[in-house]
Amino acid sequence: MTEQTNTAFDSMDPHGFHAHDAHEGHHVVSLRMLVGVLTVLLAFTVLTVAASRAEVWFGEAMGIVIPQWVNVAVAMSIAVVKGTLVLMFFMQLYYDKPLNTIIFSSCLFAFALFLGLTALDLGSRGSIYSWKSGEIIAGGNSVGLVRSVDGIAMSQNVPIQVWAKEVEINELGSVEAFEIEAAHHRGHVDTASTADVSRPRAGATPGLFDATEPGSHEDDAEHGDEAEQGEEEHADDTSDH
Amino acid sequence: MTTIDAGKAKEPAWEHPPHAEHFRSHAEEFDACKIGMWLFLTTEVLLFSGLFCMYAIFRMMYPEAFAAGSHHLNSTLGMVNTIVLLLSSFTMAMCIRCAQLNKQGWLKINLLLTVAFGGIFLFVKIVFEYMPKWALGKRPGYLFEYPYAETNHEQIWWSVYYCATGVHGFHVLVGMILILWVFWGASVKKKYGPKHYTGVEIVGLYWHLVDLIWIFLFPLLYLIH
Repeated sequence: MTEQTNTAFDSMDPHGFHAHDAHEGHHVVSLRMLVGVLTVLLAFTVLTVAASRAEVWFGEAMGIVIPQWVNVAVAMSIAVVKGTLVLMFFMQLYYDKPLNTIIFSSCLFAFALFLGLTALDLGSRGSIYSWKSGEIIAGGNSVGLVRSVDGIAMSQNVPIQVWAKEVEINELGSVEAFEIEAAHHRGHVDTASTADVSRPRAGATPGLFDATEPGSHEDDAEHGDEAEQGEEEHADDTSDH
Repeated sequence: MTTIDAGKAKEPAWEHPPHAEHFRSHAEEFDACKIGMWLFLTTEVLLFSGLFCMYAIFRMMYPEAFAAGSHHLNSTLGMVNTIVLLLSSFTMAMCIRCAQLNKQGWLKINLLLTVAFGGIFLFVKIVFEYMPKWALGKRPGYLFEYPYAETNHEQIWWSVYYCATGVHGFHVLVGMILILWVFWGASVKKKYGPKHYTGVEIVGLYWHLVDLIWIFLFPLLYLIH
């Protein structure tokens, strides 16, 4: 279709249709280039087979243990070079509009994610098995956790919360001191939140620094009575009420 | 057209290639076809990526089965098949060049050569590889009967091997049929030439992808041990 007879041609069309573009983008790859690419591909094929056999031979004749990744790296590098040559010159991506390259690269990216995340999963299974084999206890079993504060180290099959409490008791000097401190932190409310009811727990004891009647706050209508009871009772952290 | 023109030879079909109504020109149709083909090729890569992933998973889980298994394959046969497929990719690239330069005879010869290389590939694969191995009991999954296996899980290696090469071999077969269809268009309908070679180009891309997949399957199966 020539420009003169092309009624579809519209010079004002922003989508870039121009009749003279018709066969402009079609590159005729030279024979020299095609033969050259073929030669390189064949040479790399022989090279990769030779490399593989050389590794086996080295291993057997000289007793050298070649790590497996060398074998994989050599074979895969050569394959990537060969694949790139096929894509660029036989499939003509080198001469083509970049959109086709973008399409294919995005697919290779998806492939890399698929393979990479699967390998990441499988490769890290080993470090998960110790958790999976550990005793199941509320609060976690601390398997694989190595921490130590003030000389008190975490121990296996003890929840991290219990360890944190131990450290605090050690720091305060006695269980009694800890219980008093705990009551402040728990807002003198001995009913913890449940899945159905959310109750604010944190914060200093209301009225703690008022000169008179510490703890005799009335703002917590529901649990006001309980809040006035002795601190020792609140120390029992029970959510059943 | 005057009566003098009537005596002239009929112009080839590719001189004024038709294009579908929804394209403004044949060139636009060609580009759309090519993008469509590349999109299809991405889905092909994703299909094979499942097989490559299966390979990766089982290789990570049973490396000794893969090491033992790959030694059962003849890397010389694999190399011969790789060379055959590379040559077929070259002749396919030549097909497009011949169509662009209006070398009709060479176009047909190159198409037939490509099909022939594909046939050699499948012949070597089936007669020299599948059949002897199958006869010895080196079969996939629960069909496995090979009594001299050195490692457990060797049937998994054979599953991966037959699956990956089988799906690839099927693609070779489909590619050969498509190239024969192009050959029919080039020889009987004489429709491919410098101004129209969409079919050659599209089928060529498919064939190159089949080659590309083999370029990766070959080292993974035959060379890595």
